[in-house]
Amino acid sequence: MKKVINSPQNVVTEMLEGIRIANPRLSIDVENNVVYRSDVKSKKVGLVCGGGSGHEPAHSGYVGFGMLDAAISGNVFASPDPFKILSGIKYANHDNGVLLIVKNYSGDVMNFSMAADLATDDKIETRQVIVNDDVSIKDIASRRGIAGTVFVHKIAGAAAELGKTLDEVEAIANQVVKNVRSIGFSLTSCTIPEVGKPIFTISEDEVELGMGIHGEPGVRRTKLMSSKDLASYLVNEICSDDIDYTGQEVAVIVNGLGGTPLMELNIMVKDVNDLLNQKSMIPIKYFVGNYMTSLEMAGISLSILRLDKQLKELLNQPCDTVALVIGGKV
Amino acid sequence: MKFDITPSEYIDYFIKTAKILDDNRDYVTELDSLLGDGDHMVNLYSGYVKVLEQSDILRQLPLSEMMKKIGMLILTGVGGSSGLLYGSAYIACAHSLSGSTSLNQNNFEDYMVTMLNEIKKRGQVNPGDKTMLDSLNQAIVSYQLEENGTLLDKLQAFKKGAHQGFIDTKMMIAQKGRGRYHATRGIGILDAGAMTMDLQLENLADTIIRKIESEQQK
Repeated sequence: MKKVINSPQNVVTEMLEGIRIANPRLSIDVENNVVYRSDVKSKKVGLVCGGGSGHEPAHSGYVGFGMLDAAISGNVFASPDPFKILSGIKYANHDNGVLLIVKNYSGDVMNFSMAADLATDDKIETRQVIVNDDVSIKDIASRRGIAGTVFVHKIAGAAAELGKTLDEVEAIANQVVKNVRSIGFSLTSCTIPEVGKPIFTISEDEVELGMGIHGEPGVRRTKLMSSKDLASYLVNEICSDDIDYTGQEVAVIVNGLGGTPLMELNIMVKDVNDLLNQKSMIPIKYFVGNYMTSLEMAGISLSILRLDKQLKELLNQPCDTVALVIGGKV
Repeated sequence: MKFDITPSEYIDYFIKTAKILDDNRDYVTELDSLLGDGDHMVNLYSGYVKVLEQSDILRQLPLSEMMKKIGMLILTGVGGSSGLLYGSAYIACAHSLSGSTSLNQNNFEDYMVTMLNEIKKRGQVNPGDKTMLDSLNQAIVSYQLEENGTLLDKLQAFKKGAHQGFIDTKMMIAQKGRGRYHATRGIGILDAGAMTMDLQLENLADTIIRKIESEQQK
């Protein structure tokens, strides 16, 4: 293992301390691994997300104006516990309810559900939206939440900032989930610091199609293909799912998994864009970069969100966070 | 035939189990790397470390309070699925054991069944799903099937069942956790969570068997 760390046991705490120093406007509860906004003056609906660490900038990077109120980090690739999540809910609570954005993994769903029960005991109203955008899994109930989650943060975050109610923000978040599909591929493995060796092995000339952000197996492993062929695989998998994108305006995330340079992400953007045009889609905005990573894994995921008038308006609203700034029209 | 495991003896069991888990660390991690992301042992063991750090305080507590404290330490010290499931299971047992001063032949079965039901409920998991529950479930079923045997026979059956439940995960298709993404490709691979459950249960049975045998020699 070759990593810039001090001790494998302290990576999350030390990372949060660094985030605190570099971003003085964020507040951080290091004991509970919560990054939160303390500048909220309004009675807005609170937005909370969280999950295992190792996916940075998700989710702490999306805490701030127009997106999340609090993000809770677990150990690397492991959900935070319900009491840590409850602290996050309390920081995010401005007396008008809190929406929990949960990626569809067994551990996350269990821990967030228990945290929601604890919040109810503390008289805080919560709702949960489960994100399951990964079309590599055919069984809908098992579908994982991946980079499409960032669209939920952005759009539900804008709705909350505009003063919408918990019911409305929840409905909008579900609208995003209903309209976003994603899929990725990996070229290399990654190493959890405390484990010390790669979580799987893959040959130099292979790519795993449909792999998850914790190295969960994908659809199949095959010889490495060109960016054009990979783009074609990703776009076709998304378009053969249940959303009809034809003639629709879409927003797209070309997401790096941590070890893929921007050069390659932008090559993918061009190849994806050609295919979307062929399929009569109208891409109005590309987000290109590392939005939801898998430590140092090389690979890319593609997320396509079908926009309607409301989703487009909310996407256009400003936001100002460490990992995403939108200042006016996108 | 009877036994009494006091809070202090339960902590001794915990210390011994931590050692057994540590001895099997590499193999469990290897299994978990095949179906999960290889961090199950790291996470579970960190919960044991949290409990052991408090062992002197825990020994002094009444049984039910000790179970609750163990549950909270695991729940808040582990995270992930196993932290929540084991933590909740101990907390549920704290309720079922309130009024008891020791774990004994009268409350043992109820203690294990409470754990089983809590894990089923919290994890939305059933026997056959290729999880930790398979070892626990088979241990309890085997214990109950040995209804005409002595307490020692029942505990031996419990031990065998725990192990068999773990071995049986080999041919199952995972329905929960990260293993489910392997679907049929996971057939032939043992479940790491079932293995750590088996190690804990077998040691619990051994602890009780030793206690019964030492009582008999008196």
